[in-house]
Amino acid sequence: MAKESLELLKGTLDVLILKTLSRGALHGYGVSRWLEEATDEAFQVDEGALYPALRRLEKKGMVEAEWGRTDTGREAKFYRLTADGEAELARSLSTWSRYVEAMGRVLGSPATG
Amino acid sequence: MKREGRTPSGRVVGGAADEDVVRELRSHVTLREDALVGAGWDRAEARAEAERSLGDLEAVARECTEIAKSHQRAVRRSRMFETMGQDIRYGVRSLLASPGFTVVALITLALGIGANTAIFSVVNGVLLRPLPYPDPDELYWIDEVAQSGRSMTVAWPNFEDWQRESDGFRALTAYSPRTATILGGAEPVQVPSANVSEQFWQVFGVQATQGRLTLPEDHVPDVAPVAVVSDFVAEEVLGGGSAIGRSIDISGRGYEIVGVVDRSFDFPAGAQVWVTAETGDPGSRTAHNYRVVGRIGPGSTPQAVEQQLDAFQERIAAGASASDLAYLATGVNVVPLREELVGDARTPLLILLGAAGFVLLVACTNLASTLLARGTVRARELAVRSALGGTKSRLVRQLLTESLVLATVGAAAGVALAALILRVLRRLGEGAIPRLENVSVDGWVLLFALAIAGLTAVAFGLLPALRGAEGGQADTLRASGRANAGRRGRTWDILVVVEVALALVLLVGSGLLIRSFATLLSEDGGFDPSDVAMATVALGTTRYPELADHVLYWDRLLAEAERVPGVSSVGLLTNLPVTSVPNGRVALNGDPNDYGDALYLVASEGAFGALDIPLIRGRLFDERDGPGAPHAVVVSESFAKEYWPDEDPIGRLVSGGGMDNYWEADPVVFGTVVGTVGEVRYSELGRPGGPTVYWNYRQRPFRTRFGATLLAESVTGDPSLVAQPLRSIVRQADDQVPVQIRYMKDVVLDSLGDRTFMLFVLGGFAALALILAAVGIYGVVAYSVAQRTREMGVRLALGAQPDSVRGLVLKGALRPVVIGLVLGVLGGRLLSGVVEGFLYEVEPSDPLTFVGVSLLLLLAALVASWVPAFRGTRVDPIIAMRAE
Repeated sequence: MAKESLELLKGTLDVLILKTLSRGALHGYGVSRWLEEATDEAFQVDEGALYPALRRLEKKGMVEAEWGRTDTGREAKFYRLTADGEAELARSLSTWSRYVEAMGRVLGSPATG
Repeated sequence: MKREGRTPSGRVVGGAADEDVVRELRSHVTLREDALVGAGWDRAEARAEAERSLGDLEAVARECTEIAKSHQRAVRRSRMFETMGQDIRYGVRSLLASPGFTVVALITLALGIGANTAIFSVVNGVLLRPLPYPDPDELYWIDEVAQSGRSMTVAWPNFEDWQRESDGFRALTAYSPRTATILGGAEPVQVPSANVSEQFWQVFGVQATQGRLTLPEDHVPDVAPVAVVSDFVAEEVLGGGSAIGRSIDISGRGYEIVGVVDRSFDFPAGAQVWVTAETGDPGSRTAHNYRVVGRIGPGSTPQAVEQQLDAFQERIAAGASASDLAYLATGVNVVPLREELVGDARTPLLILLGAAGFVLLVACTNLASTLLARGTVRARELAVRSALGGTKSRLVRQLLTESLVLATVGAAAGVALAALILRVLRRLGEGAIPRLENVSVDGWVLLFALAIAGLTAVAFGLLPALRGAEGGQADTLRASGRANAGRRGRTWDILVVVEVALALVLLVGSGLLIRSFATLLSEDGGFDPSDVAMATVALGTTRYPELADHVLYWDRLLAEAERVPGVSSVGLLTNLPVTSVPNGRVALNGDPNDYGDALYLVASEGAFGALDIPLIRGRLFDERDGPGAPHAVVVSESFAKEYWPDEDPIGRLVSGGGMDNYWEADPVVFGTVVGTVGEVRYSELGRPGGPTVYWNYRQRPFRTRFGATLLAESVTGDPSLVAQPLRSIVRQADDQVPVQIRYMKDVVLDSLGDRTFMLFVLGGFAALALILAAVGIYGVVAYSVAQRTREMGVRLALGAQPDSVRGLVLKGALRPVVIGLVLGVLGGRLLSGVVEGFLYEVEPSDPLTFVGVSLLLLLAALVASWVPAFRGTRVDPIIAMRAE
């Protein structure tokens, strides 16, 4: 808990969810866990925002959901990426990497550094 | 799905939360709780922490529920469209799979919808669309009413007084329609025109597009005459450039053009030139030469105006002499202008709209029975679909979609067809139906076509769809559709009955019209129109100021015409038979106070020969009757009988009163009767002629100035052979005179315009209904024969004669036809009264017509059922018995 959490930028949650689901079907709790672990708890995922985001992605046809059981035998709703979702993820990734690269170039330039 | 949800700890989540949402959130809390317990937490604390980390549970649940609901809605919608798309695709596919059926159905629909759309376009343009003037509901037509109740056009002095006698008019105008001969362009041209009084433009709310309209100072006698023309005249007749200030010669008088109006304003009836009507002549209250239209302001009502003018006319009539009273107005009649303009067209149009509706009903019946037959053929397919889980409503929807697809395509074809039919209608209705130029396919018409297409689809599709879906049961699979044959058979019989009855009603109507028309055409009008070509010439008074000049012109023209090869007889007549001829008072026996009533014509002796009007007594005009000689007059036989019964008319004295200026001469110039001729039907072909006087053009040329017709009878019997030479001699005689060659037989046909319109359109509809009915009967019989192939095979194998089997089929097929005929005859008797006004010497109950059209329809039904019956019994019995 030593590190300070970063607030998620607007619109980034969707990409993170898609990325998370690209590894395989997962329930909402699993998504939030994985996000925290993968970012080394740098991102504080607001669980209250996670579920509406999942539903919106479902409505857009990026993910589809199905009830199932966890390893521990608990029932949970599992989300899976659709073909549309994969395409959207690919698009977002390329946008993000260009964005990051551009930001890095500006912020890392010697003039200000 | 709305159910109250609880979180694991028992907190109530928003009443409207979706069950699925609550379940998911609960699962989240459980999983987190498990994880925390795994990390050593106390379970109660773990649960509290898990719930806390979700934040405002209610808000989250609400948000998720909203998204879920809108998602569900979207899914439902897209599924519906998908189903509809499927139904349409399926419908199109199954229609394409049976092209024969589809083509016949589409043609049937296109004909039914096309006929209705075309007639509705006419009804819409003529009856429904408002008049194209500002505040058209303020415009009223005012007629004079005589003591006898007869309507008359208006006498100028009455019109002048009405403006003072009523305070209800915002504007009031009198006009008289004319034909103007315009000189000043490349060629002399005749166009419809009108002489209009001062407030004409205010009444119609017209603005000039160039120059100005006529002003009050133009509407006084003895000022330089001015004219307003349409841009058609300005551009096409006068050849462009600014028309303002140009001088033109209109019907022999010089005018200066002061203004141009848009050609879309063409009141009265096609007018393109307007000049002032005020002549300074006080006029007579018995000379009904004007028509009056008023704009009644919001402060008054037509009833109030009528009362005021009635009171005035009563006062005038009270002071009149007994002899004048018959020609005087004792009251007025104020009617909406549109009603007056549409006038007699309303009845025929509504009759035709009804007839078109009948055609559509026949088409629907036809389609319903065809679809029903198809439904039986498809019963297996439908049964399979139903067995595979298609619900009844789904099947009905599918079959209805198929009908809708058919109807939509049919409607598109129908609208295209309607545009074609409209062209024909416009030509047929010219002259018979007013405002036809307003008729077009507009938004309302398209809406109408769409509406009847939808109704049609339901009408012809619903019954078969319900039957088809019902048939989709398990027993159908076993019975291959034969189980329902009996009930279907009855349904078909009823459809055939309806179809035949409807078609017969239309046939009765058109049969009566055809009989009337034939009777009318065979009517002897007292003249022979078949071989006469003619040219009407109006010389006017500017270039021919002297009456003697008119006589010289006609002398020369007649002499030239006589030399044309192929012409057997030439003559001059001021008015033509079956058009309408001016009538008026004639003085008798040399006494100006002893008078009767007669048609008044000016003629040359050759006119009687050209039209084959027989001389009965005495002689025609000849060289003895020169301009200086005592006036000679020829009268019709009925004139002689009417005024000198049982006496010899030859040598009697007659003069035309008010019809020419010899009446005003002092003393009145009388003529001597030199001969009598046969009756000619001058007013219309269907009305016997009346007393008629003919004056010699050399002696009384007065009326020839305003137009007289050169008649030339062709030796060969074909008048078109003399048209060209006739045109050139009129050109040569004076190249400033417009020439248009017409044929007398066309004049006769044109005079029957409203009858031909009704005849052709109703006849066309009846023919359509007959064909549709025959096709429908054919389809039903062909189908039932196909269904009974096995049974017939058995009969034939058991030794039945093909003829007797055929007889059986025919008997079954003709029973509903005969019932339909009986109902049709009854319906025809009920409805034939509506065409009574169009009948001529034929009763609406004319037995010959009823029997004739019934036989015609029976014959068509016989042929339509014999063909499939014959085909069905020609098969090998063994093959037939194996048939399923």
